[in-house]
Amino acid sequence: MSTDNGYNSAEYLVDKFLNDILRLSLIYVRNLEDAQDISQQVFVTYLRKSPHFESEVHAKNWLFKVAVNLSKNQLRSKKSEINFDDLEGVLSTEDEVLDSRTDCEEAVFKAVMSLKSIYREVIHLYYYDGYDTNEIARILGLPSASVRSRLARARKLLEIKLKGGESVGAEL
Amino acid sequence: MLEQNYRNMMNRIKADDEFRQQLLNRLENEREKCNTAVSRPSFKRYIPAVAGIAAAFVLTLAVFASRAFIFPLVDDEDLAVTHKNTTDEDGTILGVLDNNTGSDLNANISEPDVETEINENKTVADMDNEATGTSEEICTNDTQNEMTDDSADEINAETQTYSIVTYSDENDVLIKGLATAEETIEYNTTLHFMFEGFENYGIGLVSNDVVFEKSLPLMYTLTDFFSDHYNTIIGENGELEMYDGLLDTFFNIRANSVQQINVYINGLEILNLDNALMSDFKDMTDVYFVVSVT
Repeated sequence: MSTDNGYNSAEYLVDKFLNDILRLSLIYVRNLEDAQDISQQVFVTYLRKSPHFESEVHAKNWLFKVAVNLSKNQLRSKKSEINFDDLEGVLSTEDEVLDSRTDCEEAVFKAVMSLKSIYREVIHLYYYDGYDTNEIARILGLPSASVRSRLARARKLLEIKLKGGESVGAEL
Repeated sequence: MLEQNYRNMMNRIKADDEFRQQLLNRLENEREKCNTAVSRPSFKRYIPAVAGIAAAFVLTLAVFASRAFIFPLVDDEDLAVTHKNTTDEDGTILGVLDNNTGSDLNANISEPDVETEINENKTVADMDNEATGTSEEICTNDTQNEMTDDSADEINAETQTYSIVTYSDENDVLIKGLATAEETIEYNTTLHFMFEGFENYGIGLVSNDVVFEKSLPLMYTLTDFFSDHYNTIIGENGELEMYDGLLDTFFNIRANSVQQINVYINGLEILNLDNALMSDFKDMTDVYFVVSVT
């Protein structure tokens, strides 16, 4: 195993970012099996490219970019149909506390997952990973104005869905 | 609320121990493969063979080039190429010989397959480019694919959200308290505005781009700007009959209204508009505002 410590060690990066990578991949491909494959491939790519990171933030951003690229490749090669049954398998656990998700949480989650990928990715990076619009723009390779525009549009679509204007299963 | 609900659900998604261990095992295997590749014979031992093939290629190329460039200078009769077929005993043509050069015109010359070294001297920018080397292409293609998947209405909706309004001194009649004698700053900046939350109050505002060419006092603040110019900011040059009163409540920051806007510039929230000067943007060609109400 690598003798490097910290954010230039594969083991550290797996421990620190695997869940984030898995969640980000899931946003794109919307099924757990593909998300797991992509997550593995992200770290294999890290080993093969052998980048040297200046900071933990640098490491995270680099891994995220790879995850985004691989996920989009997957989307192009295989149109992903949303599978809420599969997501149910991901979300349910034997832990009573974790399984006590509210209807509201589930509705929000399904609403986000039913959006087009260009909206899902900005919603996830902004609201879950806490990136600002400029950072999201760098990760996705977009102008900042496009990110802001997509965020605004995504919020509007979510509002419509959650207020009952659209079926959660429909993709706009 | 939306954010918290989404976070709660996402937090439930985790890699289990089995998957994590599987990944670590795979990474270990990959590392062993990489170590094995490094210990293979160096590329340098192949240089003599590569050099020989390259030399043969160059020589053949020179021969063909000479026929194109040198022979035209010679008498045409000398250029007559007689092809002599080589055949085996039963007459099957085995090849076509060029009498002048003796070379087999059917010979295929291909570039040698040269193994390249892995460049280990990478800059941070190079690594970022590797991670994103195809991202722009992918992003571009993905955007294009997404756009082709959109309905025509969606595409039209996207292109209708921006309008360019040129605003200059000639049209301005709303500035209050502008002192003409004091030092002023010339602005030539494009201000981009997006609006959030106004729909909750029945106000439909669309994104607006304003080419801002004005002279303003040195100490002109964002409070002054939003209070004085909100009609321009929201993209309306005249009075707003339906929403004027309510919008005035939001934007007339000087009046310390209860309901006021939150302003984000290039993603950062400006907490005190009184302390932010327009002169901070005088050298910028584009400034991006998000104006929200809750």
